[in-house]
Amino acid sequence: MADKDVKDPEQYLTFVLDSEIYAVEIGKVREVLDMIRITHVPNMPAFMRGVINLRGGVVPVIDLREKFHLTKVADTVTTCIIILELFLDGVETLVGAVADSVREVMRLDDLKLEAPPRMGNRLKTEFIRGMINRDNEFIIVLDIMKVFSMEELEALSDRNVLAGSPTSETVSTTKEQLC
Amino acid sequence: MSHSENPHVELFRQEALELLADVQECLLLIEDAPEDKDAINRLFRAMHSIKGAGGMFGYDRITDFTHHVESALDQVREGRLAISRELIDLVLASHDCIKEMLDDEKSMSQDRLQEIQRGLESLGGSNAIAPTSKAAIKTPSSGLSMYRIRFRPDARIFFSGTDPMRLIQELSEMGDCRIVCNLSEVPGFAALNPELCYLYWDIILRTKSTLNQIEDVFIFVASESQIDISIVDEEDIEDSQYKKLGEILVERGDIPKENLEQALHESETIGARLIKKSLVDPHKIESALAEQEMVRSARAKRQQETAMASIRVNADKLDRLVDLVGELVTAQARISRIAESIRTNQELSDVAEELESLTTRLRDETMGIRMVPIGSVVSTFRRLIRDLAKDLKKDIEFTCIGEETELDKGVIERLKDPLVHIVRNSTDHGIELPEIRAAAGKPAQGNIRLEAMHSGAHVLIKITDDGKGLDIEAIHRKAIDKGLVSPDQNISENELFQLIFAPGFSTAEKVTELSGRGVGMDVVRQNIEALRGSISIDSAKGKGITITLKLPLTLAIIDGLMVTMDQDSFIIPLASVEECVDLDHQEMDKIKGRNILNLRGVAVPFVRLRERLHRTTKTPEREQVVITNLEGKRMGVVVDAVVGSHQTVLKNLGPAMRQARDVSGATILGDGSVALILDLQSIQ
Repeated sequence: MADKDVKDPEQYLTFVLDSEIYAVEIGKVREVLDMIRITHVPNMPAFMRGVINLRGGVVPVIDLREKFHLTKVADTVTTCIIILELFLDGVETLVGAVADSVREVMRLDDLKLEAPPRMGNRLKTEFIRGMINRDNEFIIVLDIMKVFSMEELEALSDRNVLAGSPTSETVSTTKEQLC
Repeated sequence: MSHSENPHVELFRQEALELLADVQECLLLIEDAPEDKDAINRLFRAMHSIKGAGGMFGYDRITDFTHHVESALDQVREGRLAISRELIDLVLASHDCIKEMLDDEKSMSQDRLQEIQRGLESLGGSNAIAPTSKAAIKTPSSGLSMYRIRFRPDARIFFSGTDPMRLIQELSEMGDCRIVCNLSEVPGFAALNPELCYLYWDIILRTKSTLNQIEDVFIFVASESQIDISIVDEEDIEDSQYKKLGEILVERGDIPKENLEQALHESETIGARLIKKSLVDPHKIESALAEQEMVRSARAKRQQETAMASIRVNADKLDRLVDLVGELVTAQARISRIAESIRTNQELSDVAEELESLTTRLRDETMGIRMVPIGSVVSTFRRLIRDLAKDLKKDIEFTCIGEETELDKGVIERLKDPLVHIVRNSTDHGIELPEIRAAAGKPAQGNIRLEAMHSGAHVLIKITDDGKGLDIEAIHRKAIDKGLVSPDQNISENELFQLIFAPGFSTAEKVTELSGRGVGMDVVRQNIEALRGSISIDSAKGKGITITLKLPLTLAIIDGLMVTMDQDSFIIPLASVEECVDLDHQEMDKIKGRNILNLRGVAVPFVRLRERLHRTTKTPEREQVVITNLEGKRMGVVVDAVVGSHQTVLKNLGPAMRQARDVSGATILGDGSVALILDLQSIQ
């Protein structure tokens, strides 16, 4: 990361989510990990997959499919965790983001970052910094600081929290009666 | 004047502040014990250092002013000026002035400084002690002296019923002792009379006792036995070279000087040569060597002590060190796990084992570096109570027991504010005015006591005052008014005391009349709980109050109990665990989902971790219950299995997980996975 060229804001890491291509500034990306075991943290919004061990540090992992309200799928061999360096509450924090797969590091060069269309977006407009049209393939450039702001991390907690709790109770009571 | 750009100046300021803290502590010590020469010397040295360093960094007014204080202290040190309340007040006032000048030298009023100076000068006139008493005050320094004792009992000593061993035993209890027994006069077996004592002893004793005290040991045998006692080494003696073996022997009269000089011309070690020539008996050499070694080691130790007293390390560096050690502990756990799975490789197992023991030691040492005695905080209380009591016209004695009890630096720093709050409350609202105390039949002088002690992985700090205590009825009434309890509710005394900590309870307007307890006890409790500690209160109306804080030794690594549930591992702080039992499913049928466990006839409520954490997996055939105890409240936590104890390096979950409930953090396990630490307080 010491290489100045790599920090160039004109470079993006692209990844796939539900057959669409997204991009984040390369400067925000620390590394990309293969899928590893994620420890689930209780009582968190559904998009919080849990925490992982990154070389001795505990890093929270967010499921982007959940976050963007896309359909749930099981993890595949290409599923990966993109480790991002963010500032949360003024503290530099690492956060993992689960994507279907990563594609490449691309340069913007003579391609243009266009304003996002106002319609037909599946995710909040403020999450999108712009669109890139490359060979008729649309790439959505995310404003990662907006996606992972403290408000966003906390906002959805009330709506999604405690999903599935009634079922667990039923399971254990039936179990008890069986014994 | 702004000095902050220069790092050297900043360093000076820090050092000066530490010296000032020392000044204050010494003053308060001297106030209690005016004869404490050590404290007086320390006080003088601290002032002297401030003066010297101040001059170097351009704090001219500090230097100038400190000079006057120093002169007064010099007189005290030399016994020309008596210690008095006025003197202590004046030097304390100078302490404050110097402290202010460190921040802003210019704005200090010259009048204030001059007033102190004049005060000190006038003391020099009135309280001066006649120079004759100087010698009396200069007793030998409180340090250790080394004595050389030759005890040659009368041969018939046993007839008087005295056992020389007893006497030697007694000497050895007085301090660090080296004993050499001389057998040279023991005759051959044929001539041996078992009722006579043929032995004599050379004893080197390093002790705080005086010559008189040593002589007292021999008081009953002194007339018959030959006893020579001399001082070999005193703390005050400049550390020149220690004596050569030959010199010691000559000094003791074991060998004439001529013989020694003759022997010195030859080339073997002096001891061997003297023995070979039969000029001196081997036991005497042995004894002299023992003395030499002891003097040498005593001096070496003293030098070491002076060298160790002054290592200054940036606190951030320590924090980083602790972080690294934490990571090392985790990495080591992985190695151990791998070594265990590859049992065939003995070498790997050995290395893993060694690594484990080294890591444990490194961890303990590192944690040890961060340990700070609680006395470092307590000294500020002395001043606080002294000043506050003066303002309030109260007479309060502050005693502290267990000042040397050590706690993690991080804990101490965050403990200071709550403690100040408690102590201030005791001074302000707890202790009554002297007249009121006298009327209530109590001694006019109030007492605030701070006790610190270790208790397992915790430190207990008790703050006790003998003031008016809590008015339990008034608290009850207040609680009813506030709707916290219903009038007909049966509530225990202890529960009522706990209400003091309820937010908004004690901040009510009439708090002082009500309880004698000040504002913001809820904040105190929050602070203590943030340190994973707990607070409890005990009081009797009119008798006083005791507040007990229970704190963990460290915030970085804890002992945990590892449990599993739904293939995940969890850590329960071991300090809160009482026992583990199997969950009896038949018993469960009887209680029909009421989540109460029958533990040897006692009903204990329990929580199923699986339900609590909303896991939908099936409950296994066998489950275990971890019985936890949090401030006297027992609760069972039902898990799939208990794995065992686990050294837990605490990791924060970070801002993204701030809303996580029921877990207080995470740790990395040997296999690299993350285990969550359960927050029993929240689960309860």
